[in-house]
Order: sequence, then structure tokens, then C-alpha cells
Amino acid sequence: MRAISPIKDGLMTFTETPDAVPAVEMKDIVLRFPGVLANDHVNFTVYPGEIHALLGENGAGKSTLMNVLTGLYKPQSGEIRIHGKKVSFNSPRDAIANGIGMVHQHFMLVENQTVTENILIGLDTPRFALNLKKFDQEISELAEQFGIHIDPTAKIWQLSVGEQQRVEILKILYRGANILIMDEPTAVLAPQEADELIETLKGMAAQGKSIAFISHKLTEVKQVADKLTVLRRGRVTAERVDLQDFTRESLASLMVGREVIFNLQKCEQTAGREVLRLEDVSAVNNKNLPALRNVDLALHEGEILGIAGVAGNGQSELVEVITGLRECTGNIWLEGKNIANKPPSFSISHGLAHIPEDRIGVGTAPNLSLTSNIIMKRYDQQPVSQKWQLNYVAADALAGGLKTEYDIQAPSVQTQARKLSGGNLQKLILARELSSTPHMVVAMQPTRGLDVGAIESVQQLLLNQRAQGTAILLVSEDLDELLSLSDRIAVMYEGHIVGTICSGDFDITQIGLMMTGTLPQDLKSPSYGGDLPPSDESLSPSAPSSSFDEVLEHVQQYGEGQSSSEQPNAEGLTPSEESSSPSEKLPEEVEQHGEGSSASEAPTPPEDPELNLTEKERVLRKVLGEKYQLGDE
Amino acid sequence: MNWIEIFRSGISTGTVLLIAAIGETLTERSGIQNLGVEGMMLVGAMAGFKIAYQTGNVWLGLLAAIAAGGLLSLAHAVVTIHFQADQTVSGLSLTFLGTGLALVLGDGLTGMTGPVIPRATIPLLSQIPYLGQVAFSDHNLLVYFGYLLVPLSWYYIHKTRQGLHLRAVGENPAAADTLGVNIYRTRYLYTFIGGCFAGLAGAAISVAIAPGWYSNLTVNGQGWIAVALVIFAHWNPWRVAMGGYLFGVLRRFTLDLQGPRLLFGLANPFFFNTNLVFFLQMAPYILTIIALIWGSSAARKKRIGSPAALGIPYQRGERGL
Amino acid sequence: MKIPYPVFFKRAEDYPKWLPAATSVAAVLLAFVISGVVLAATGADPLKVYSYFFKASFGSWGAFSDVVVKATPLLLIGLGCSLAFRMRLWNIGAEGQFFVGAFMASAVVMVPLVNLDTTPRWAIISLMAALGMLGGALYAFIPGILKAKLNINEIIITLMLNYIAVLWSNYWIFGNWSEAGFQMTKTFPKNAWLPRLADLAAEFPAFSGMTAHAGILFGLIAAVIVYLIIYRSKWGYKITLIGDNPRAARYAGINITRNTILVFMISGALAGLAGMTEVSGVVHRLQERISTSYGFSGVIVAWLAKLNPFAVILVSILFGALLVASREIQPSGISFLIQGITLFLIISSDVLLKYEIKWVRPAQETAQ
Repeated sequence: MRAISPIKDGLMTFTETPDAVPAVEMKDIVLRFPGVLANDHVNFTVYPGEIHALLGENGAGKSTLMNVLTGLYKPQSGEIRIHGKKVSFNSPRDAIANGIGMVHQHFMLVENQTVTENILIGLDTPRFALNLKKFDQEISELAEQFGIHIDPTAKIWQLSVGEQQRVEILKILYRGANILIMDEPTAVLAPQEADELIETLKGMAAQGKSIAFISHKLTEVKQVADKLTVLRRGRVTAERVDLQDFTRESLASLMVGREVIFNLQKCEQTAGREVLRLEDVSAVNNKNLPALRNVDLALHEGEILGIAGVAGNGQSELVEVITGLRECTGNIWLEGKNIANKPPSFSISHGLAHIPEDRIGVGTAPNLSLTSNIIMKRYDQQPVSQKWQLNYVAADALAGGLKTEYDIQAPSVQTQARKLSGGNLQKLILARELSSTPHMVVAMQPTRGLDVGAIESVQQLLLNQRAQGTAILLVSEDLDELLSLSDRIAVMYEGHIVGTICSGDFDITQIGLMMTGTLPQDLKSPSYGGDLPPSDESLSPSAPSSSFDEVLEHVQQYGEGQSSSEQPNAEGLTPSEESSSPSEKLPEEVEQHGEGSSASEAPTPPEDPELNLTEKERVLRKVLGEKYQLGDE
Repeated sequence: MNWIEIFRSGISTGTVLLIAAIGETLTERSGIQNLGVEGMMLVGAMAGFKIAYQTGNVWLGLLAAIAAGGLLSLAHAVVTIHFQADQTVSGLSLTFLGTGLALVLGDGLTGMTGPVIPRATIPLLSQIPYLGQVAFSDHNLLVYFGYLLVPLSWYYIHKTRQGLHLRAVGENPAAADTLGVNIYRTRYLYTFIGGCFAGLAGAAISVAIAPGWYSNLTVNGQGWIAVALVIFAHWNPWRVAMGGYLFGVLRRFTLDLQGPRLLFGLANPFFFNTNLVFFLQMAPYILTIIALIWGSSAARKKRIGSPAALGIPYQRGERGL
Repeated sequence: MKIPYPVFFKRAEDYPKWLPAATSVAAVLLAFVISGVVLAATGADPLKVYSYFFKASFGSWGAFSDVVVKATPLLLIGLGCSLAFRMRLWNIGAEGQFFVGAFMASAVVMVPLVNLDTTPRWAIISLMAALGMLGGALYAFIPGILKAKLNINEIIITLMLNYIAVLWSNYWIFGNWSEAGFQMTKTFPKNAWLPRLADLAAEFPAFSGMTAHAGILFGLIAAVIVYLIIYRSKWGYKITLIGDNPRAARYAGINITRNTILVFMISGALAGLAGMTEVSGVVHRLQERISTSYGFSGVIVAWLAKLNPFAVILVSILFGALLVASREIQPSGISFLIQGITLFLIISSDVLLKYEIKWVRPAQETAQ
């Protein structure tokens, strides 16, 4: 029997009563791979209408557990019950037949096929001939039912990332999924798009669907989930807990097993002379579409310039033109030398280090030894090089020294690189790149996929380089990382640099808006840093943080801007302009909050201890998330 | 020069190429590259001829050829799909293997005459002026089979559910896997089918188009030309057929150049110097190289590529993310 | 089909150093066994055939000399292929490069490019060797640049070029260079011959009749050079890196285009040199059948030797023996069959090096 609580804030909530039947019940699951115990007697239960977060760091076993649920892996022991019925899956088809569907972090879509074709893969109908038009119609109707806007005849490569994710959701809805598993769904979305997705999920939960939400983002989990299960190294360390009982720090400890302090010491730093300058750089991507448009950038000694932006807006191409892996128009000056369109060897010889995004596919040679990987860029230098010969003894000594210095865990320097874990692989790359005392480092997603301990090491290494005067260009999808490490942040959108902000003025909302294309001058905020400070000016924050009142003001402006048509509203788009960009969604959201805050209940979890916040404080909390400290004004 | 004869001959030779190439297209669409086509054609030619010769029944020979090609391709499938070996090297080794097998088992058959697939003329269509004589009169039955094979295979690949799965497996096997498509079974199936077609193409030579067994001169590189044809035709059956027929015509044309005394009013060098025939014989191979060069740059412009997962072994991830 | 499969492949932590050699030996032995079965199917007696093999190749010094003769081109081509394969450049065009090298070397005599009467022997031979290498290198430049610039599949290109090279050579043999209407050139004068053991028969009577020639010295020197390149030099490191992960090599600043062309050309040069040794040291003329598929056997030699130059020496002797012995065996394709099976087995056995195979029976799938 499901007990239905009184309607709260427009949402029905289902709560568990003693005789309620869980939608998913996984008991004592053991999954073993050769050499790895991925799931060690794991329990996981989700009730209908519940959004249940599965938290854990990379390699903890969360994705593996969900792969068991979707029938991709068969556990060695354990029991799975769906709606009380015991089941055993032999293939993904069985799971699909039981109403389970998963939206993966890396989309499983065939790029050159249409939306409809992608949705139809794996189905048993039609028997033989494919009548696409009929299915196009069906899928349109299904999408409308859930408020999803998509063109079924579009090819996947033509769609934006957010739209592709919607195709993934449609895929499982079309198969009648009642149990949805979302694997790190907001990793590829801008903050506003992520909020929109969360609203969609809440709507589905309200219709009785059960949702499992895998994440390692603590902030997000607190925002969306009803219940939480934490995995660490294959074991459950917290099961079906209520979220308000935990702070961010205690959650992180559960994930990692030790105390985690979210605090990096970044000292005040004076920026030095200019090291890198991009002038009017434009480039195309692999599909011959424009990826960089008239980019101007500058980077100074001892400075970390962070590049923020949703993946796919030109960051990869930016890194490639700087490191000589892509052609471009315009000039790129590295300490006075133009490195644009020169091969990588040129920039390497002028002191440019590059930590690539793809550490396995680009950064290392998997079957070669540690030593061979370390000397990848210095086989021509003493002491490794001896005329035409390679002195492997000297190379081994060099590698041994770096292995100790950077704490790379491996049996020996002869070990093949492919046997290293992600964190150690990254340390290897850092050892190679940073030990050559570069003038400039380009780091792309340096902490992606690493566990918390490795993340701390990497970030500290970058800060050390900064202290020594190296210029660092840091591209990252993790806004928190950019905010804590960068001196300045440049935001990219569709190949443009939308704006650059100095560290004193970091504002997550503003950056989020810029990530979806809003020009900074359209935001009424104190600074938008278009011009660079003169080189001897201190970068320490001299202006106070933007006051709350100013933020509230511009947040309320969107509500007004929406109602006045024909005037360009805050996003810089007239309402008549065709766009389904997420920035358009913001006004409705804000209106909701604006209205909601005037009602008796605020849209926060009912058991919120801070129920007595003023309206101002509640809105601020919503907008700034974890950055908000009670008492800030 | 008798153009009718040139086109007729071109269609015959082209049929061999297109049967092998369409088989390879299916295999490659599923993501497996099978470079052993030459070996499979040879083993098919040998098996077809030998069985037909020994039993006197040419249809049994065809069946034997199909089976031979298919079996050999299974070896390639196991090694590349299950063992995840490098597909290039495995395909090459199969060429050697197939050639060796064919030479040993076909010993003593050189120069023998065996039964041949009958010829036929299609009643109404052969009345069409010129085209009827070229395409529908007095052709080996396998040629007509080729005509049917092209539209059928195109329809299968693009307009059926099975074809949708085939394409998905070749483009993004992980996506198909999570939706319940059996990647391994699909790839095994289409590799086997490709091998069967290659064997059939080999038999098409030895019991139909150019009857007889002449050890490794029987196929003499046509398997490689078929593989090149698949790339050149961008994995599309219609273009494969066009390319195959065009190839056959050009080949016959260059050989016929030796015939007339006068060429465009000038003394024909090929007539007067018989040794220049070697350059004419080079024509198919040079053409293949040119076709490959042209095909790759055209692909670059149109942003058409090979099936995205071609040549990459599929392994369901050991660890989750 | 049920998943996961009852066979678990686990990435091996490390394999014992002797495993690669052991798998190669096992592959050869197994290939002999399987071919024996095929032979039996055709009515021949495998044991008799194989004992004859052994006698014909290692039974006497004269036989061994014949083996060396056959091994020489295999060694040179095997070395060239091992260099190319290390960079994952599949040079299957060794056969064609061999013919072009033979052609260029023959041109020295046939044109003639120097005065054959007055030029000393060592000069003529050096010129032939140089031109042989040049011919092979230039012929290999074609697939090299097509691969480097346009990324065209080098396998098909090199194979097509094989056929073209043979036809080109035929044109000259049947035509201008033909000797009295036969399909071969005239015999080369003595001072265009590579010295043979038989030349020393006056001092060492035991050497009389032995046709092993100086080409083997070329091969041994080449083996040492290839070894130094791959295992000691900076260039060898670059080649290995490109072969293992070309994207990483490009990221590290290595010029892949230039190295592709260079490696192809050296591989071709070695094959061309092999062609020169064959026309100068063995048949002493240019004729239609100067290669018993050396080009393809060389590929297999390189693979069987796991791309190690010194192992190539051993394997080419083995395959040389195979070729010598099968000269007189019916059916004639048997050596090809053995080679084909060997290669196939080697590739299949590579899986043992990458993975440990564990058989997991369903009953055992319980937690410990």
C-alpha cells in the first residue's frame, strides 16, 4: 500500500509505509571482475516516486551496480526484485522488458542516424521493413506527452548536447521504462540546463516513476534527491539516508573514507609579463564547422587563466591550435614567437607543456614502459640523448627520480603504462610535463575521472607551478575547480570568448549565464573584465564582492524582461528569435521562485532547519547554492 | 572494336567483383575488416571447380564454394572477435592460408575441364535494342543473380530493421549493445556471410565466367580489387556495382586495344609491338590505385567516412566509469 | 547467447620472457602437424614427406648451402618488414620492391651503365647493390607518401604495385632485353656476379658446388644495423612510439609524415637489395621467375620473429629450409600452406600474451 501525503508545493510525495513495495530492491549483490571486486554485498532499494541518489567517487562501483541492474553484467551472487518480483537478467533485453532504462553519461547514440532510428535500435518490431514515417509520428507524440521538444527526423550530430540527452530519455520512455537510471546526467550541461533537467526528473517522479541518480557532485545531490546511498570501494557506507542529515564535508568523508577539507591555499600573486597572446584566432573543427571565432586572449606569468564552458563550445579546438595540433587563422604569440600553424615540436621547444584531455589516447603510449613515456619529449636532450643513440640507463635514472618525486604508484619504471590507474597515469603525465620547467602549461580536464585524493595532488601541483611563475591555461568542466584555482576565468560559448572575469568578481550565476551565451554587458553587474589589467597591477581582489541586492535586482529583471516583448531581454535575444536555448527557461524559473517565495512555503525540503530564512535569503540560497553562507549580505 | 562485346565482357567480370565486394560491404558495415577475400575467393574457386568436376554437378560445386569461403571466414571471425587480434594481420594471414589450402587441395586440377553454370537469355528484356543484347542476352545465370543482388542488398541495409542493427553495430557498437543487440553474434554472422559471398565469387570465376582452375592465377588479385572497390564505393551497394562493371569494361577495353591496326587514325602501337601488352595488363591495378586515391579525397570532401567502428575490436567495458 | 561468456580474459600482469619465443616455436610445430593432416587427405604420407624435408635441408653441407641461398632474400625482406611493422606500416609490397630492385641492378649490365670490361668487379657489384636499394626505395616511396598524406590503405596499394612491378619486368624480359627470343636476359658477365663459396673451391675443395653467395653478408650486416636502429637509437625510439600510439607521437612533436615515408623507403631498399642479390648471386640474369614469393614469405618471417632482427636470421634459415625441401615435393603448394597456417597460428597465439585465459564454469560463480 502506498501512502500518499498531502500535496506539497505541487508535488505528490510517496513515502514508505511498512507494506509499501519497492520498485527496485537489490540485495547482497556481488560482482567480481578478474582481479577486482566491483560490488561487495551491496544493497540498493528505490521506492516508486522516489529520486534516489547513488553517490561515490570514481571506481567506487556505482556505474557497475547500475550496469547489473540494466542487465549488462550478471552478478555472482545476490538478488534483484522488481516491484516485489524476483528477476534474473541475462541481457539488457530482460531489463528493458522489466521497465528499466538507463541514460548513460556518455551518450550511446549513433551519430549519423536520425532520432527515430536511434530509438528503434534493439526492438523486435517492425518485423522486417522499416517505415520511418510512422515511427516519426509516434515519437513526436511521446515527446509531447512529457514536454520534450525534439525533431525525430534530425540526425544526432546535428543536435545540441542537451537535445541529445533528451533523445536518450525518450529512448527509455519509448520502451515503457518505469525505473530510470541517470548516470552523471549533468556532467555535460550548463547550470541552467542542469536545473531544467532536474525539474523534468521531479516531474517524472511525481508521475510515479522511480529514479536512480548517479553522481559525484555533492551539491547537486543535495538539490535533487530524496534518499541517498553511498558507495566506497564496492561497499555501501550509507544506505537510504535522508539528505538533510549530512553536510557536504560528511558526505565527502563517506565517499572517501577520511576527512576532506574543501579548502585550497592560494596565495596572493602578482601577475608578471605576458607569456601568451591570441590575436583574432579562428578555426574549424573536424566537421569543417567553425569552432573558434575571432578569439583574443592573453596569459601572464604566474597566472592561472581558467576556461569555462560547456563541453563542445570550442575548448578542445582552442587547446589544439595553441599546441600546434590544429590549423587556424590569426596569430598566437608565445613569448614573442608566433606558434600558430607550426608543428607541436616548435611550441614544445619554446617551453610549452601540454596536459592533454585524453590521457590514454593521446597522453601516453600504453604498451611502452614508464621510462619511455617520461622521455617522450626529451629524447633529444642530455643526458638521455647521446648523438644518435638513446642512453636508456640515464633515461631509467631520470624516470626513477620523477617516479619518486611525483609518487607514481607502479612496480618499476619498466612497467607498461597501460597498467597504471587513472590517477597514476595523470601523475606520470604531470611529471613529464612539469619537470621540464616549462614557461607555460596548457592543462585540459586535468582532474577528470580522478578520485578525491588524486584531485588534490594535481591541483596542488598546478598551484606550485603558478607560484614558480609558470603561466597556466586551465580548461575544466568542473566550475568549482575553476573557481578555486583560477586568477581569471574566460567563458567560451560557441567558439567566442563571451567575457573574462577576475577572481575577485567570480559569480557562479553570472558565469553560468555566460556559458549559455549571455553577453556580460547585458548583465547589470559591477565588472565584466573585458580589458586586461596592466601587467604590474595586483590581481588581488580590490573590489568587494557583488552585493546581494544587486544580484537580486538582476535576477528579478528577467521576470520583467519576459513580459515586455520586442525589447531585447536580459539574454540578449528578442522573444521572437527562434531558440530553445536553456537561457530562455530562466525567466519562468525565476518567476516561479518569485511567486513561490510569496506563498507560505518556500521550495526547499520541508524538514529544512533554516525554515525561518527571509525571502531574500532563500532566493540567494537557491541561486548561489553551496557558495552561500548564512549571514552573508 | 566491338563495343557490345566489351560491355558484355565487362558485365561478366564485374559480376565477380561485385559479388565479393557486396559480401565485404556487409562485413565491414558490421565493423569487421576482412582482408582475406583473395584467399577466400581462391579457396571457393578451387572447391567449386573440384566438387563440380568430381561429381559432375555444378550446383553442388557452388554450394561447396560457398561453404568453403564461409568456413575460412569463421577462422577470421574467431580470431578478431573473440581473441581481439589485429584485423589487418589476421586478414592477411587468411589470404596466405586460403591460398595455401587452395593450391594444395587443388593440385592436379590445372587445365581440366569441368561443368559450367548454364547461360540464359531473359525473354522480353533481351529485345531492348542495344541494352538487351549487352545485359540480358546469353549471360551466365550468375550475372543475373548479380543484377538482383544489388538492389536487394541496398534495401536490406537501409530499409529493414536488420539493416538498421547492422549499421548501428558498425557505427557505435556500445550503443547497440546497451539496447540489447548482440554485437558478437551480429559480427560473426556478417563476417560469415561475407566469406560465403567471397567463396561464391571465386566459384563464379572457375565454373562460370572463366571456367577452369589455374592455381593462383585463377583469381590473380581480383580479391584485392574487390576490397579496394568497397572503400571506393563508400560501402554502398549501388556504387559497388557501378564500380565493378566499370572496372570490367575498362579491363576488357584495354586488352582489346591490341586488336585494330589503326587507333583514332594513327598506327596502333599496341598492335605493332606485342610486348606492350604488359602495360595493358597493368591497367586494372593502376586503375585500382587511382580509384583509391580519388575515393579518399572525395570522402574527405563529403565528410563520408567508413563505419565508425571499423577495425576496432569491441569489448564490453570491464569497469564501470 | 548468454553473457558474460564462460571464458574470462584478464589482462595478464606480465608474461614470462620466454613466452613469445615459445609460442612461435609451438606455432611452427603445430603448423607442420596440421599440414600433415592436409597432406594425408590428399593421399601423401606426411612422415615420409617431413623426413625428406629434414634431409634435403640439413642433411649435408651442400644442402645447407642451398638453404642459405634461399634464406638470403628472406632475411633481407624480413628485416625490412620488421622495421615497417614496428611502425604498423603494413608493407606487403616487398615482392614488387624486390622486382624493381632486381630490374635496376640488371640495368647496370643490360644498358650497360658502365663499361663492363674495364670496371673492376667490386665497383660493378657496389653499383648494382646501390641501384637495387635505390629502386626498392623509390618504389616504396609511392605507398609511403600516399599513406602519409592521404591516409590511403597501404596494403592494397602495395599489393597492386606488386603486380605492376612484375609486368614491368616482363616487358623488358620479353622485349628489348630478351635473349634470343627466350623469356630471360643474357647471362651476366662474371664480374657482375656476387662471389660464391664455389669460387673458393680451388683453396677449399669442400666448397665446390656450393652456391651460397655474399648476399648473406649483406643480410647479416643489415641485421646488425636494424638492431642498432630499433633498440639503441633515438630514431628507433621514435618509430616504436609512433607504432604504439600515433596520436601520442604527434602530440609529442614527432613528424609522422616524414617518418612514414622514411621507414617505407628503407623497407623497400632492403627488399630491392634482396632482388639484386638474387639476380647477381643466384640466377645471374633477369628472368620471369626470380622469386618464389619471397615477398610474402618475408612478411611471415618478420611476424614469426616477433620483429626482432636476430630472430629474423633464425626464422629465415628455417623458412629457407622449407623452400629448399619443398622444391621437390608434390603438391607444390605445401610450403605455402605451412607458412599460411604458421602465420595464422601466431596471430591466434598472440592472445595468450595479452590475456590469461580463465575458464569459469557456471557452478563456480559464487562469492568467496
